[in-house]
Amino acid sequence: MPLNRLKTVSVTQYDETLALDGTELPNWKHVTGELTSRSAEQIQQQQANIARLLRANGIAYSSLSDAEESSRPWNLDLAPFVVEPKDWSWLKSALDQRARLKEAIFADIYSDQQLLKSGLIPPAMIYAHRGYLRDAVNPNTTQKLPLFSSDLARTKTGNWYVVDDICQYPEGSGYALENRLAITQTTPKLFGSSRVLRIASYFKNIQRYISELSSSDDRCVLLAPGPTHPHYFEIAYLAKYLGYTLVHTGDLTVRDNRVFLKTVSGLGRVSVIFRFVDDTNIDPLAIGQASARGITGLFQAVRAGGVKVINPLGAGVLENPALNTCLPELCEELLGESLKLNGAPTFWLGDSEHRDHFNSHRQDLLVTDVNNTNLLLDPQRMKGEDLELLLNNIDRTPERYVAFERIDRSVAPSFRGTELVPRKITIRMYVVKHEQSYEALPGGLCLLDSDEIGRRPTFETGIGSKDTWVIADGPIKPISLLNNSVNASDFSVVDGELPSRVAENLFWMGRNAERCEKTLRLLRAVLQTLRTNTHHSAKEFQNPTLEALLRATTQTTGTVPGFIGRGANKRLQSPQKELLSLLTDVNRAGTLPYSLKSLSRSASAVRDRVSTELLHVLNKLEDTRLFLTHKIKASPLQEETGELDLISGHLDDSLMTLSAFTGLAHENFSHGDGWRFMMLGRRLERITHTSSIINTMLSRQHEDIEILEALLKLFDSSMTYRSRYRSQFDGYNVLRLLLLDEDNPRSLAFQFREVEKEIALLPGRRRIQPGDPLARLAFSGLSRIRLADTYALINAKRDARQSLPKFLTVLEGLPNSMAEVLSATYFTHVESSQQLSDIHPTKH
Amino acid sequence: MKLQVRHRTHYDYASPASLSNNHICLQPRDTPNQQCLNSRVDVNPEPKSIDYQQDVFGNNVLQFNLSRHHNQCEIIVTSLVETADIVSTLPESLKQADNIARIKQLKNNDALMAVECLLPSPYIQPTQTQDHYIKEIPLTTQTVIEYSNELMSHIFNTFEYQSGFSTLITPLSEIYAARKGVCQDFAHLAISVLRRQGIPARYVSGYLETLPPPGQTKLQGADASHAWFSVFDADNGWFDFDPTNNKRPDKQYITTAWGRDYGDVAPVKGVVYGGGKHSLTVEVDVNRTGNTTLSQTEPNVYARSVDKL
Repeated sequence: MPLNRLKTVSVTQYDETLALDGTELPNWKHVTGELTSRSAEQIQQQQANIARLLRANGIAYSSLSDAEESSRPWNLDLAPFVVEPKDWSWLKSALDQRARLKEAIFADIYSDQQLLKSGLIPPAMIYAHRGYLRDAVNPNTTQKLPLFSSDLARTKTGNWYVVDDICQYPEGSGYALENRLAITQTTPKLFGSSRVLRIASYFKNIQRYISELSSSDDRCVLLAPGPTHPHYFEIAYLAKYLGYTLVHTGDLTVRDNRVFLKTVSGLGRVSVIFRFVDDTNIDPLAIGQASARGITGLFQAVRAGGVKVINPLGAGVLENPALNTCLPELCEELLGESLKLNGAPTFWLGDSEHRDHFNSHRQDLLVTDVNNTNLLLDPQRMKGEDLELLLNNIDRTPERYVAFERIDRSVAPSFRGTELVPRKITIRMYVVKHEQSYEALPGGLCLLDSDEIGRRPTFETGIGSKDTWVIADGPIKPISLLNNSVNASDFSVVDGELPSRVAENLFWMGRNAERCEKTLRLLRAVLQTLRTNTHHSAKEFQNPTLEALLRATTQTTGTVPGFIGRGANKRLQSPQKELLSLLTDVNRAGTLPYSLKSLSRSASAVRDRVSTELLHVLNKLEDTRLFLTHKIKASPLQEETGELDLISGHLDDSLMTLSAFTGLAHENFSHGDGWRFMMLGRRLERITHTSSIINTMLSRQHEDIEILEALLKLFDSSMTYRSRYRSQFDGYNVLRLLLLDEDNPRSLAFQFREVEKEIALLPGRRRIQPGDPLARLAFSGLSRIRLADTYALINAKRDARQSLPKFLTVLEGLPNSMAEVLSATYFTHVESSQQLSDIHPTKH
Repeated sequence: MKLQVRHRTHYDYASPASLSNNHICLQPRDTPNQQCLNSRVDVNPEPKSIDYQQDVFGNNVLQFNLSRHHNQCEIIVTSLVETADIVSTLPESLKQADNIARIKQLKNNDALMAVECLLPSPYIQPTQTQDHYIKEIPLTTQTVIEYSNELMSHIFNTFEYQSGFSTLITPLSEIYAARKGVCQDFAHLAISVLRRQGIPARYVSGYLETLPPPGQTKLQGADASHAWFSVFDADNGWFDFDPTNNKRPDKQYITTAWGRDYGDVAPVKGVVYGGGKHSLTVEVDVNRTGNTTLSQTEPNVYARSVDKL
């Protein structure tokens, strides 16, 4: 195999802003000149603006699996990366060529493998790569490669080279889109005056490609990894932007070679899967893919033509960096062209000549396993034992290793604080197939990197990115992203497209929102009572209202023993410690931060379904949670510290935010199935809480006006009460308003009436059968309330209300039974799977 | 010689399964030494359809799914195979390095598979174990086939066959340390040594006809699936060896499929949704026959080889 070495080595890094003769490039000059003329204050304010925008749009680099770490903002540099028109015209044709070449290789590897047989590609190079999927080999098809991306960098002499090819899905393209929106909103003038090419065309081309694959009424889904994946938000954002239903592998099922989406209305046929998951563990029945999760039978369904996958399964084999060694020759052979865009000089150790070269130049080279290219090893820096292990592995499986020459990257001006300094960059560029060639995204994701050795600046390094501005030769035709017909910015649930998993999460989002609200209201009431109660010293702690509120808090949040279980009396005497825990302990079920986190988690899982405003509200709640868990250290409930006021303020704000959440959920969601599940979650939770709070608050012997007043406040019904009764407080009227009044939106009666109404509108229930368990449960609650003997139930005299506790206990239990039925009817598609065992050959 | 093989796999579920997807690799392929005259697949409960196809190695595989609730699943594959005898003497063969050089020139599917079968595979990863074992049986002047023959005998002589010693996931190092295993382990061990020596070796799954002790009748379901290895010599093609019986597979052997290792040719693979705990029963019969069509086997005599899981 011929050795392809880099010839020139100069000392300095290539400066992106300068031409080869050292003069400033015109477009760079325009942009940096404008940026440096800004004041430090302006820059800080704009940087803050970017951070706010990224957060509001929900693109935060985050991992929910991380228990305490909150969403880390995806850093975006205010200074863009500029691509001069001449560079661009070369780059896009070079990328087009590389994509066409890779597609030709792809087609051969998965059909008759002529390139392997002839030795143009050494077969061991392909077989040793885990991206080669034996189940995707099918002599009867010609594989296409719709999407292709490359990470590009520049040598010291200004030549572009490929750092990595990304062939399974356009990882990071959502960030590129997001970066563009944030930058144009932050520096509209500079953007407007710079003749920057618009990037929406790339996404339109993807949609076109997909629509040409399928007929108009076919369903395309965007297959994403689970919400704990670091790029989940980016992918959800992209799904929303492109208008495809976001699904996880568990949402899809294969039946008789066709793929279906499990929705609340049954199975819906899927004809195109746009995947953002690796194909190396996607089908448990495929060779070498042992996991019991995934889409069982997908390869067979693809082969039978029942579904199309983009990029097709097996495309990962093209990411093997060892292929770099064959590309120049393959380009001549397959395309009759000479290769424009080379990889970094690469040596495949499966080839004996290359291995010899590696052994004699070890000090100059970096090594990586083709199946783990994120880990780049520098033999020079490795200690004895590690080096020995590496060399040993290379000796056993040389075909799995490649070596690269060390080459540097170019630098571009970037902000460190408010100062522009040169930083190393790599650009990820994207192309999509259109007819016989590839169209490039005019821009890309420019990644900042400071790591000396890492060739690949991963998102995980978290240093940041830049928007990439490709400058047009002439005037710009304005394509507003907002004119994009499928830019469903406030996209809501599409009826009939509701995956069971999403329905379940929406249901839980409703329940969790209600839980948060109730916990907030209880804690706020407790703190308010404490504040007015400060003249009591701890020893003479005998405020019945406070005690009732504390007991209700424990009961409703399920944080036993707390103020009702073992040791309750002691805690009632000095409630500080327990209250602190309820306010700050994120790891204890039922506390305020715990409920806020649950809300955030269920909302994150349906991120593509909720509007930007709603995400913004969720972010604010997340701020509250962080404040509670991190800022409150000592017991805040000592009056001197003044923290009581601060916390009360935060609780007030959060209640307002939650109201906004409720309002948006009501106004910005189309009232379809998704909304219905969310509202049912809310209503059922509210029934449980209301019954439980009233029962607990009125359970003690003493009952005075203060307790009744506190009850009204907790249910936000003081105003209603006054306007209706004008008289003084009276147990009968208060209970009537909170329990039986079907016009009070906070009453139990109202909740049951709504539940009954919504249940009738759920999918598949438009004609409810006699004996339907869900309808029966809802009706039994409502009829209990309507048929109640008000005299015995809510008598103004406490002692006369014999039947109230049992009445409330029965109602409190109904929501759980209803949730079980809902789950069995609509969410059970989320059934667990197991691998069938196999017996192994035992013949003697 | 004509052999009829009946392979019955039966899953019992503790609770109803709502969906199962299954992949079966049990229908014998044609080889230079055998011809599969007829083969039938019966699945109970009956699936809507069964997809037959050839995998990347040319094996006959099939897939089906059961999308209605079921408490059990039974798969019976019955095949009639005509086998030919082999020449008992070993042929002339190539030295290891010459073999590799010739393979590179061949440019056909066999050569491609030979290259694939020089590399590690999921069940046969390079370890220290093989290096130790190689010291016991060095490759010096032998040809590829001579060496493979020696290796077969060496494994037969230094390992003890012990049914139930290993499971599907027992690593080779454990087999090596205990010097015990079953046919699959011996095949994997031999292949790992051969690949380390630079000799292409693949895994073969199939059956072996057994005869009852004189004077007794053969019990139904008494046979089992079998496995051995095959090496590639550029001049002779693929050449089989059975280290479990120290014997070159002859007309008593039926080849079902081949691949890099067990994982490529697992007889049944499946994923079931719901179902609770399941138990698996496998029952195999291999019998000589004079018939030219499949004979119906005796129904409902199920019993042997039950693995409770």
